[in-house]
Amino acid sequence: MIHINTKFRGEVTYDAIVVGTGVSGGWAAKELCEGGLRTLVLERGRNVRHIQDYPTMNDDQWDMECKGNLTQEELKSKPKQSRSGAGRRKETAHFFVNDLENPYNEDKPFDWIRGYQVGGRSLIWGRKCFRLSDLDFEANKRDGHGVDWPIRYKDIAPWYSYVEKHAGIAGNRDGIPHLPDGEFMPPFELNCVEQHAKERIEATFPDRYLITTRTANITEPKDHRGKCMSRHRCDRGCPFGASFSSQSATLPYAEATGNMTFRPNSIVSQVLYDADLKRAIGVRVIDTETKDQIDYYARIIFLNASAMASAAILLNSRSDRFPDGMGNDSGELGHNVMDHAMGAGAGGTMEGFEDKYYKGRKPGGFYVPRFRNTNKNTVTDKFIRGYGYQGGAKRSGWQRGQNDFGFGGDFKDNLLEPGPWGIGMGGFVECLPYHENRMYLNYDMLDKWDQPTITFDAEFKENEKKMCEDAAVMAAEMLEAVGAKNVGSNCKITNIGLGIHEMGTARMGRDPKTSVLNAFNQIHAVPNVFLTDGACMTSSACQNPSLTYMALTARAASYAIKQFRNRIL
Amino acid sequence: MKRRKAIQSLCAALGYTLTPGTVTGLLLSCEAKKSEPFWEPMFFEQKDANLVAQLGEAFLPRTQTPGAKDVGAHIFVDVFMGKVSGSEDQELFRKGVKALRSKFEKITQKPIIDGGTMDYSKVLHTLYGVPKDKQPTITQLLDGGVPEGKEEKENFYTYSFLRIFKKILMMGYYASKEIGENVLSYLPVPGDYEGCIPVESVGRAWSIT
Repeated sequence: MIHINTKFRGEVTYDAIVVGTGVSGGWAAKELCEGGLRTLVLERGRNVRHIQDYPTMNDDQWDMECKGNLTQEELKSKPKQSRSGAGRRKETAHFFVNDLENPYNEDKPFDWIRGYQVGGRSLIWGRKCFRLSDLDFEANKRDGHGVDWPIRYKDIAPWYSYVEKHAGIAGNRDGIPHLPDGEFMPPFELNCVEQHAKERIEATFPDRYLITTRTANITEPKDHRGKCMSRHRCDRGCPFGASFSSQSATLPYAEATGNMTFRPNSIVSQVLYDADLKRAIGVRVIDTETKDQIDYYARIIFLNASAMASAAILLNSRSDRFPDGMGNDSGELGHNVMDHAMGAGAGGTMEGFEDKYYKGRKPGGFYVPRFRNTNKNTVTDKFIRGYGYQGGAKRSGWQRGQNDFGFGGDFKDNLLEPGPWGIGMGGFVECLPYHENRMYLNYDMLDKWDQPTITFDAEFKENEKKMCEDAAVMAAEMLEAVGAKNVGSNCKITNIGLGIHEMGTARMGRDPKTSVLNAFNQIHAVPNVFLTDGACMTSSACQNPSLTYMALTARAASYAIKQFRNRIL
Repeated sequence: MKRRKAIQSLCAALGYTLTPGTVTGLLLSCEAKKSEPFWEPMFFEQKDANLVAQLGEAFLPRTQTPGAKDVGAHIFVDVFMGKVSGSEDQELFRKGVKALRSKFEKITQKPIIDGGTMDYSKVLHTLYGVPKDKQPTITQLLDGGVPEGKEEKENFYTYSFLRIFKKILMMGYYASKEIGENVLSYLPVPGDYEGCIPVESVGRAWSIT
């Protein structure tokens, strides 16, 4: 039965609507509210309040009956989320979706790892923040894959600075041209072995760097947020607010303006279109608790539901004008699915640092920026584009004894001591935009809200595979140069999706015939709909993308506010 | 815990005030009568409760630091097998216990019911105390799947059992509250990260990694 909203339209009319409360939705809410717009913020999942709703934030392994492992019973609702490590841990499982209630389909394997709650995946993201550069913004134009980005680094650079200053990124100014420096808080230092690795790698390979990672964990107090306490329990919700999440860093600012109306448990099924106005006029919401269907109206709509969900909402927003989905004049909506290919890397042990240790658990290790095809000295003919690595060095714990034949008192007591140092790194490989990599709606397989489900038909191809092979070999080569022993490398490319960096389904571009969004993230033909999550990405680069979503969102919101005030929108 | 509550309510009825020490005293005096504290497995059969406890202690015996039994690591193996492990591992485990019982009696020449930690230690020395160059043979056996032949099968299941048992037991031991908070270096809220400090300034390994 369909419940019809009988409220007077004036009661449900806002200046702006934001769909989604993850990394980019939180930013849209903050910017629009601070810009003076009365904003309705919608989230399909349950409410998660800062601190109060972080049930595991202080749990040690021994506080959990199965020491953090999910039981067979608990795993039943996570057949797909458990493909990701954190999705199968007790500490974090409540921030990952129930797959049985939120199904999707796979023509080809696709790991779609999601968090449906207020804060979305901002609660469970990896927090690594790297700027893109013109090496990335010009890449499509240079080698002819996909379409040209409609912006360049100079367009986004001030907005990177703007969001970095507010979000709080710990990092070092390393002066690497294609990984531009930002507005950083003091970095987490490299540990002894990582510092040694940095020196050896940079001395051995002229175009390679090892830097301390850049991470959205504040290292100095800011407003109501305390500095990072080096617990590395960020993905359970940080009680200090040091780790960036929508809860800690954006939604409170939106709320403080008094302009935000906040509505969890609200699935947006479609954007409503008025053919006479040639504008979107609102969104249709399904209340997940009452199943009521309610229409909300606004002059500006920001879609930030996640790359796949935002594209799905548009594909489902069908009208006479847009029979194939709103904004789909180009036929590109839902296409060009990208992610970062993972699974290539190397590891080894390090001798000579047995008298050294560290204190605390920093929220990230090191980063090796891209060094392939960055300039004329680093060109390879094996593939185009490049990859970066995340890595770290640590002393091994008692787990080192789990697989050998040891037993007895000495065996047990030796494992109480810090073990040998290990060092490893894993690649994040750029994925090209392929038109045939797509997601589409399946109207035969409806979910419990009678909404169409998403089917994925995407895969990594030759270029990504060649890069993975190269990334494994190069990682081993670098670890050998560092002096690591027992170096082993691995190249088992992941399913697309497991990088949890989905992108590209509503790409930005210069030409409405070949792209969905313009340079300010507006749908070409429906300028009061903005889409600033991963869907907008024209290419994937190899850097972790969330910082770019933040910057593009703040930039688009600033533009939208001006247009709103000038009555253009 | 239920028993502690029961004792507390008993004492309340008699008008005593209990300090933690007297509770422990009552519990211990009760438990001292048996060779092993009674515990009711959820996955293992009751008749294997002693085997699980003694084998655990043989793997990780009490020294100047607690042993497996002290921290209940053997009970964790049971809970883990019952709740976390998949049916394949569970089946392997059931066959493994049976195989180990047979091995036990061959090695110790004792009925399994009489087995103490020393007997299980002897069993482990015989089965696991193999020289380094022989170890790959065992690993190969385990990775090769169920073999033909009665004895080969028994070896396969015994070693499969021991391998999984030890892995889970170690988790139960090293990730226990006692070891995590009082034996290893425990620092739940470290504050500033320091990347390069003398190992002596920390002592034992960090319990949270």
